[in-house]
Amino acid sequence: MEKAVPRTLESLTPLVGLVREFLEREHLSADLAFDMDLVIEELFTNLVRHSRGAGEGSDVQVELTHLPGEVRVRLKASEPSPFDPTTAPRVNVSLPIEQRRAGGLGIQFVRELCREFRYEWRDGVGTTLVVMGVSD
Amino acid sequence: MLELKLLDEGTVQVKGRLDAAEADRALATLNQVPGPLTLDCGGLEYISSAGISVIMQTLKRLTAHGSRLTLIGLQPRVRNVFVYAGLDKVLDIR
Repeated sequence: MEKAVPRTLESLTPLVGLVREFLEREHLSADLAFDMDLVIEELFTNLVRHSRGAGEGSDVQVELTHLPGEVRVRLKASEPSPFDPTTAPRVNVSLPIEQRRAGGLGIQFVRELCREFRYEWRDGVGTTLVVMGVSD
Repeated sequence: MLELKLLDEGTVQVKGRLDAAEADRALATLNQVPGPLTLDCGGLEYISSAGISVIMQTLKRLTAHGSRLTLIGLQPRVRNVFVYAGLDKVLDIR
């Protein structure tokens, strides 16, 4: 299942709808919705916030695939140069609150919830792929 | 959709989804409460890193003024996100 949405925060609502439709069609537990929403939001908002000027206003293609024991989420977006979220530094969540910044937490959540997290860039298109384990 | 409702002095009921699209509005609302502040999160169905940022900024603002922030009624999946962020150790969660 796939959907192209504008690269704006207003697209989060239709993406939530896409996840519900996908889970129902694939007969997967609705309990997966929270974690899938979280992973997709973090990857998508990363594209919205950090890729300004790199395809701003263009669509992001979101693809959801169910394979035995796993769900694959792929986001494809126009990017003049590579912007690899997998290289984002890890956040030290043990620091005192005064020294903490919120930046980077979203990618931390993606790492927490996904068994694979990959990125590739080719011909001006960046593709992020994550794999989440599921019970069929 | 996110709903924030001031129940009584210092308590705000939070319902719905605190995501990147709602974070700015949520922070603007919470900034109007001087503290101490209790967030009743029983109706909070979803939170992302953008929502966690709102909570962190609110916590920093209140502690800087010698006040405090308390969260009550967190649903298990929402609580997990606070754990991923390491905030379960620094927030007063009941």
